[in-house]
Amino acid sequence: MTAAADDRPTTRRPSWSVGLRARLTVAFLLVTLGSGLAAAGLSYVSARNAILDESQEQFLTQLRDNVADASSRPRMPSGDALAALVDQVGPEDTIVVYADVGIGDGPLLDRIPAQLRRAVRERARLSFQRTVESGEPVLYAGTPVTTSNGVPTGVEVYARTSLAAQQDRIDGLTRQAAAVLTAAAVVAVVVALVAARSVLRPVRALSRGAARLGGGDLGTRLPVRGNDELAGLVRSFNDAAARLEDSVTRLQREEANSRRFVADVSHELRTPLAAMIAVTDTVDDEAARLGGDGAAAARVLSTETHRLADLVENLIEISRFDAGRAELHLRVVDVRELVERTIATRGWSPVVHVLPAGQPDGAAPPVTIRADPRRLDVVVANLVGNAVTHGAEPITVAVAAADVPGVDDDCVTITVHDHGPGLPPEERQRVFNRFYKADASRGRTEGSGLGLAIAWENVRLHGGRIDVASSPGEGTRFTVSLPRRADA
Amino acid sequence: MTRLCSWVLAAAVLTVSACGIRPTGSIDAGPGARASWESAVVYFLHDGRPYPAVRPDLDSAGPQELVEALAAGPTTHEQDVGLRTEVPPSVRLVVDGDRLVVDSPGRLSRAALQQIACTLQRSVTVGVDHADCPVP
Amino acid sequence: MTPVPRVLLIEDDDSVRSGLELALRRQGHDVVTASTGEQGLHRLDDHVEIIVLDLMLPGIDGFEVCRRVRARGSVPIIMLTARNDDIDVVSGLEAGADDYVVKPVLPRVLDARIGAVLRRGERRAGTVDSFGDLVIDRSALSVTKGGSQLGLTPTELRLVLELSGSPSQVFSREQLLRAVWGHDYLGDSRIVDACVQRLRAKVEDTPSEPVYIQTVRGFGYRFGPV
Repeated sequence: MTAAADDRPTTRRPSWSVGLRARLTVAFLLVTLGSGLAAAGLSYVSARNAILDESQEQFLTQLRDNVADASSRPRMPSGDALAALVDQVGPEDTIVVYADVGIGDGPLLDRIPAQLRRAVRERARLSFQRTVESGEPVLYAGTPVTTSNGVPTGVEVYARTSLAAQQDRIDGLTRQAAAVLTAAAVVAVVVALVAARSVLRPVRALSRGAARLGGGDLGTRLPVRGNDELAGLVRSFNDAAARLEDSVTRLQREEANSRRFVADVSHELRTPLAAMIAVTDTVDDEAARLGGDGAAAARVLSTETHRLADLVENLIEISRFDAGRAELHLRVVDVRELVERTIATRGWSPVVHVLPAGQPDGAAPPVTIRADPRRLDVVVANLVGNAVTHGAEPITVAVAAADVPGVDDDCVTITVHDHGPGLPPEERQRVFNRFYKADASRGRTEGSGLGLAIAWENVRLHGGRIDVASSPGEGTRFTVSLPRRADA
Repeated sequence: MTRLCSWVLAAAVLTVSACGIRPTGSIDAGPGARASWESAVVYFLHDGRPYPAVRPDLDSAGPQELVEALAAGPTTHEQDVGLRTEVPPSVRLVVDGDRLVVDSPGRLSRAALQQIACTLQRSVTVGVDHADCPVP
Repeated sequence: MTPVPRVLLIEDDDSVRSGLELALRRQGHDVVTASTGEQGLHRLDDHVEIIVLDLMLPGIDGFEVCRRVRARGSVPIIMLTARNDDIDVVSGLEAGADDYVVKPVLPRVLDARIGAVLRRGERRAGTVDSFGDLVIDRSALSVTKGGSQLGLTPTELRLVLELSGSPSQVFSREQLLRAVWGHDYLGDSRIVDACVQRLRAKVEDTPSEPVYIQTVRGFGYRFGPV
């Protein structure tokens, strides 16, 4: 779990603007193509039907008239008469059939669709049927020959004609329709792109504006053009931005005021504290001689004066961070040495162990880093002090360099591990809050309640972070990660 | 989006189905070719079923003559294309009031009866049912 | 036993002044006090050996007092700053302070600092070295340049003695901080830089092109080679 990292959701590039443009274009194209196809399809169908009807009608009429005409002159049906009939109707692609025997274009008889033969025979009416012969559309027509009073003579005449020419005309229509549709599609795409651009330009501007606003530029306003819905949206955006800026400014002013107040109060407290601290040693010395209640009272005064002084110092330190006036004085520091000295000078050596416990000869390799030693000392002191106060032994502090596995490159980590009761998950984030109290029932703790907050600020000032891990059986583990800094 | 899809689909189906010249079944296109002359028609058998043949010279002949023509059988040309008759020469047609009676010394085949029925149906107004002739 | 050193405490706040006076007395110091800068400058003639100076003073402020004290002699000064704001510390050091402590200060800390500063002026056995026209007499604790005595504060003197003791050797700021000021490892190395600047102003012909006290970038300082 990360307590120190400033997890802000990464701002994604607004990819939807591309999607919107594509969608607009596709929709426009589909509508154009759809209506174009429907119109072209309808006119195509009717044109095709007209072409077919016309040629079929012509062919059928011609067949009927020719047959009627031809069969009127000789009286039928001798074989010669039928042959003559064929000659007169037209020897090409025509066959006269009598009792399933064909006269004329012999091979034609087998190619006539059986369905057509049956229809002509059974209905005794003129019929036609279209088929496709090796890719070529063909029209077959057949007619019975009847006497003038309508009695079938048993003679049937069939004729075949190719519809290739009609097919060509229809294909020409298709090609025309396709060409027109393609042109319409191109125009539609162009129009859609232009329309999308005009719609998306303000949307993009709005998106960029929102990103700028989200990035902290609260003065962001967008020019309002026109009077359409998008202009209304832009106006709303501007209003929202203005209100946001107002309230943020007000909040910032109020917060700055209250912080300045804390800083001022702290500074004002310093002078009387300076006087009080100056005499605490005296009070302590005299307390021994006072004895009884007076001694107890004097010791309370002295102890609380020191605590008050610590609190004020911490408050001033925090207000310096808040004001952005905290400065780093970097120099090369051996972190292991610093940790050991910090622990030693605070008198924690008996309860805190620094890991690794050095080589057998006691000489651990130095872990150097560019850092502000005073601030690093504060960090280590606050974390270890926290462990000593709230945790339980054994308390260990481990210093690891970049080449230790499991640690980020170019980092030095300081891990403070105690074996206390641990922190519940919801508490882990809050330990770095100011005046955080681990135990709510405890009114006051040993420290000022600002120690971890100050440690956090100091680590952040170094560009590092503090992670907290805790589990009931394992105790609590604070890990400080500090960048080594290339210029070390 | 589904509405758009169905639109596209419909357009595609329409386009494909409407393309080119498609085969059809046989389609009725009106009455057949009609010669300018009248003729008597007699029915011989073709593959066991009655099949017409014109007899222009019997145009105004009576039933008896038509039956005789049936008995006389098909012409050479008609025989060549497979027509034959089952009506024997001994058949006589007797008019009995408003009825025609077919009189034959032997038993007539069903096919022969059909031949006679179809022929007479075309030429004479007689009540012959179930003759199963090719339709007029 | 050496005579009790006389400390001049210049502090405008009555309570702080009284408290510190009391504490310093108990530490064994002879304390004279002043509540303003002007008053403090008057008391300077009373054989004062070290000044503890509050920076925030009515009238002439601590920085000005510092400069005037420096103009008149080499009495060491420990600044008392109400806040360790960096700008104040740097200004104070540039004005000539030898060290600084942050209020509120524990009396024993102030006492330790006073002791450390005064010890810098103690004589030790030593030789006389000369570098060009600069002559350093380690036993007499005097530095002359071209025959004329240089008025160095004890801190400046101790710094030049430390550096010239091992000519050409590079000292890190932390080493100098420990050796001259007696600070622990957390000490503020800007004190060293401020003192080096002041020292250069006195010993170098052209302080911007130092010959005696040279900067070794990234490491620290060295004396010479001349």
